[in-house]
Amino acid sequence: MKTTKTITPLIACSLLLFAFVHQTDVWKAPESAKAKKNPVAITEASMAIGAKLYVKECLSCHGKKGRGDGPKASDIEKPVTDLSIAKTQAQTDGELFWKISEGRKPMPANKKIFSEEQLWQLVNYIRSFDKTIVKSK
Amino acid sequence: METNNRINVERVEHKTSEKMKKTNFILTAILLICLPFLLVKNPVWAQKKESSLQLSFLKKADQSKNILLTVKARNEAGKFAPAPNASLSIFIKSNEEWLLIKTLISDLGGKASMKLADDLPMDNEKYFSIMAKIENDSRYEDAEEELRVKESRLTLLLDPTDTNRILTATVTQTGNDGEPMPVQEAEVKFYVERLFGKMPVGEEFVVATDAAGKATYALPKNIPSSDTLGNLTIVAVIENNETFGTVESNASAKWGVPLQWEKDPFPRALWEPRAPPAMILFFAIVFGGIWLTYFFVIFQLIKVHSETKIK
Repeated sequence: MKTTKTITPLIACSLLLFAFVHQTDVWKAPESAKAKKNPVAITEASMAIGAKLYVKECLSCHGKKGRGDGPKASDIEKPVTDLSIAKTQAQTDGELFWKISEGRKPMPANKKIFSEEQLWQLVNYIRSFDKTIVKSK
Repeated sequence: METNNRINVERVEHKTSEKMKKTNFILTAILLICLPFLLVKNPVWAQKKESSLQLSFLKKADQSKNILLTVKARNEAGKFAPAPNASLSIFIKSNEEWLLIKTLISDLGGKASMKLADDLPMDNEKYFSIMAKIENDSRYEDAEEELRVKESRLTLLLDPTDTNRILTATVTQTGNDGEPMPVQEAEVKFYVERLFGKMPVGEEFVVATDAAGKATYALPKNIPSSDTLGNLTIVAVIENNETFGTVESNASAKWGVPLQWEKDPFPRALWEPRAPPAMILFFAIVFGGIWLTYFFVIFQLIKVHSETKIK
């Protein structure tokens, strides 16, 4: 009985801690950012700029096709986000824009490097990694 | 008495058999829970790893054409890490058909490379296409990567008599008529070859080619050479170009600041065979102190011993 009394709160505490750790791992954009509309239209020119920016600042970690397999990906302590999967592509343009702008360790905050227009161009380029679109082509 | 003993023995036996039954029940339950996992056709631990394949083209300064492959696989931590021993099939496109030219195995760093033939089959636009595949590998999921490259030529000219030390790189490609034609807006990077790699020649070492396919750069006059003669090997590179891949060229000239050897090549230092004088003095004092203490103790012992003898 005594052992059960000691073990039960311990298990409860560890479950709570586990839940907390996983809760904090989720990266959520604020509602206002999610609702933000993309002012940059997807054109060949804007995609070309987006591609250039991606190659310059993102490719080393996210890789050529955005799968998180860039040359530096294995040196980073956390797995690099796969930009091609449905979970990432299901996010709104505003959500992606906010995450690219703000960053979260080890990803840098890109709002210091890029202008707002460039960030939207980058969002448009990231949309080209969508696996489902590639399949339907 | 005898009856009581019998009853006690029977009770103990009954208890033991009940315990045995309980243990058997628990073990059977564990086995039943684990059985589906053991019988699953493709269990988690035997699943193939998600793989990623990167293929690039490199034309070296000796004009040899090479392909470089990097294989990565998603590990338990969810990260893409180098995938060793992956079997790779290399194909080349000829008359709209993919022909297998070689099979390679990735090394411990997940890398593999091969030299291509000089005369590669090209399409109407003078491009050649290479494909690499991971197929039927027991450890990695299937993956493929295609590369379409146009051959280009990069030449680097140095005029040893030029006091301004101008580096001139010219980029050309083969036109439809078979004649070389200049490549405009190709980014050429200039480096100086060093023992463990390449060092950019200056801060703005990337120059785009003009309408004549030329990129020029004035070499700084204060670059140290790696020998006493002042020789410098300059390397011009077009890196990861979408059309041409990576193309290298190099040339040498006596444009570096000659290396000056010091009079004493092995001065006294911690990392040299000859220690610094301060260090020798320090250790002499420390060890001398220790030995002096020993001698003092021995001397005292002898003194005590002789005094007791006299008494």
